[in-house]
Amino acid sequence: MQFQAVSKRAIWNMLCVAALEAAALSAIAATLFFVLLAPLAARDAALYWGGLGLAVLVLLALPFIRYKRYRYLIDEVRVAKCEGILFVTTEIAPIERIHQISVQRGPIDRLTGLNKVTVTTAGGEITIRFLDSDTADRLLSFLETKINVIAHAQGAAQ
Amino acid sequence: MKPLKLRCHYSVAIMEFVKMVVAVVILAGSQLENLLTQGADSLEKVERQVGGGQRIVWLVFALIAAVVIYFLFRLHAWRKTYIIVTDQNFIYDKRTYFLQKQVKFKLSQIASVNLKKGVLDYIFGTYTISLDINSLATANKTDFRLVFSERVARSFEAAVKAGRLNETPATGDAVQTKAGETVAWPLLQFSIGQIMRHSALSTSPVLVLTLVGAILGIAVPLINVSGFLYPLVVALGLPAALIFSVLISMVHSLFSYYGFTVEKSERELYVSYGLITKRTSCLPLSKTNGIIARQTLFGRLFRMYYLEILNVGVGTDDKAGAPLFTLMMNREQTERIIRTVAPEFDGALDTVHSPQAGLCPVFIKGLFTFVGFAAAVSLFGLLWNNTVLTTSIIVTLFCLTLLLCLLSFKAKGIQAGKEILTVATGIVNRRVIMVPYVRVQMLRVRRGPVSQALRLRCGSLFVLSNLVNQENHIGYFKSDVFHAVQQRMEQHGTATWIQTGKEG
Repeated sequence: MQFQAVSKRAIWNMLCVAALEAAALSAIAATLFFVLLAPLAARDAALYWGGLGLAVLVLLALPFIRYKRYRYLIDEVRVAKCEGILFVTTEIAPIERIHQISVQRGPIDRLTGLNKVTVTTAGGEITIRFLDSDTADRLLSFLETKINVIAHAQGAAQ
Repeated sequence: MKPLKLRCHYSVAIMEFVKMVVAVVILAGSQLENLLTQGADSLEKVERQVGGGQRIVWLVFALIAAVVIYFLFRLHAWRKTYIIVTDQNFIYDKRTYFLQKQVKFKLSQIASVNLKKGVLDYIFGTYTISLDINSLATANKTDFRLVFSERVARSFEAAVKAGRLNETPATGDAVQTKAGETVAWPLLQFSIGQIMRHSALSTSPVLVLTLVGAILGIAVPLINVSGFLYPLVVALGLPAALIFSVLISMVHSLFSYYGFTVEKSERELYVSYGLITKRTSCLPLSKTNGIIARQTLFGRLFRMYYLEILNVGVGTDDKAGAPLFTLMMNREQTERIIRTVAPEFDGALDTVHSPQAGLCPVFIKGLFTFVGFAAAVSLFGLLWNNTVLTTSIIVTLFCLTLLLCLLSFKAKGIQAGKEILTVATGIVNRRVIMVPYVRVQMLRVRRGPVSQALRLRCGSLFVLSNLVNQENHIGYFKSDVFHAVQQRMEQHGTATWIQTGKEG
């Protein structure tokens, strides 16, 4: 099995999401600091903001590791995806079990020109993210042809 | 076959109407309670708002008229809804003034016909039929719930069965009656003793622990009061709590599973049970997607299993989600029944346990959970300021975590057979799911830093079933095992399954 990397633009996509998460985290931390923990000693306050800064840095560094680990595979037999940072998950579905394919683009996906392809089986679904439009279209037509061929073969066998 | 045109029993209209009236009465009752508690001022206020006593009379008349109109509407809906069974199709035809709806599907799509006789059915002399079709969209609920008089219910069941037989002609030497109905022979009958055994072994450990906790909670404050009362409460209370838990389970099981009988024909399995609410399930064997063998905690101690059939489209109200077809039996009996009902699953009950190294990630995961709970308990401990109590809770939690980790590790197992894949999973209760590779939809493999160092993987198996049984966790095993499962899952396609004739 030869897994492929996703488009390099995925890093920007992941960074956008990470920046939003970091902004939300900072807002919550600041509210907590000024409303609940206001009379904090200078040393403790420095520790608090230092911890928050470290958390934001980690959040912004994670997309690079995530991109390196994010792999997908679509061939004649199967659709597979591998992702994770500390815990790596690989999902595999035989092409024969797929009965629905969909493409979605969220606001950040549109900003970075990427697509999300979801293949659905009768037991669950695999979502392959960060695919550029050309690759997504190519995969979609390949999967459609493949599924139709299998459906005809199954119909003939029955 | 002459098409069978049926109408549901009139009790359907009455019950729908009664449900609505009860809802209105409850709503009105709560408002009346408010008025009574607020006193006469409030009544005068309402009268002023409505505009005098005469208008209240008109309002009451309007309410009665609304109730009558609603009753007529339900009656009209009942009169204009027909169930038609032809030699090939089932048609649900509703033609009211407000809604015209027709649902039509082939009889071969029916996954199961379940007959239930509840308390209301006894009053009206009816049967409630739950019809499930092979549809994943409705896999978690019953597709049609029909109420017929006993005679009509039986003829409906016979018509559906006959239609299904016409659809897929028999290949075996089934004995057929004039109506095209295959003859069923008894396979299993559970005596009251066996039902009691099932119920005793199904006693919930959570209930036992709760009752034991309650007894200890009562007994502990008595230590300081009297030296005599504490041992007495513990000595009498603990056995009483255990007996009470078992008794609750026994009474529940006696009512639920009384007269548990399994009959088998060439193509179908008939399961019937119940004392007050009687259930009869008709399960076509060709629709079997898998078999689940379950073990409760006490069942695991005595190596006892009970079986369920995995059937696409069958959504029951039961939490388990799949139709039950045996009560607790020992391993030999369980294997014999599997051999008789679905020979292709013969020998699939055996599983290989996780390697010993798999205990390490299980314990680490458990310890992380324990640390979270211990931190929460310590935080509360600061509030109640009782070090002894906090420490004893943390120690109990630690012991419980170790026990659960061990139980979870022992429960996990796998057997990647040639045709059938078996996965054993669970923590307290164990579930062994046996499915043909062709019904396996997806495989998820997971590795963390610890399992990577030990060259182990864990994951989940997604199968074609109702939602409750869709995801099945696989314990920690060598990566070769997952590789073998993946290869076989890819090799076994629907086409090969059809060619070998397993699709029926």
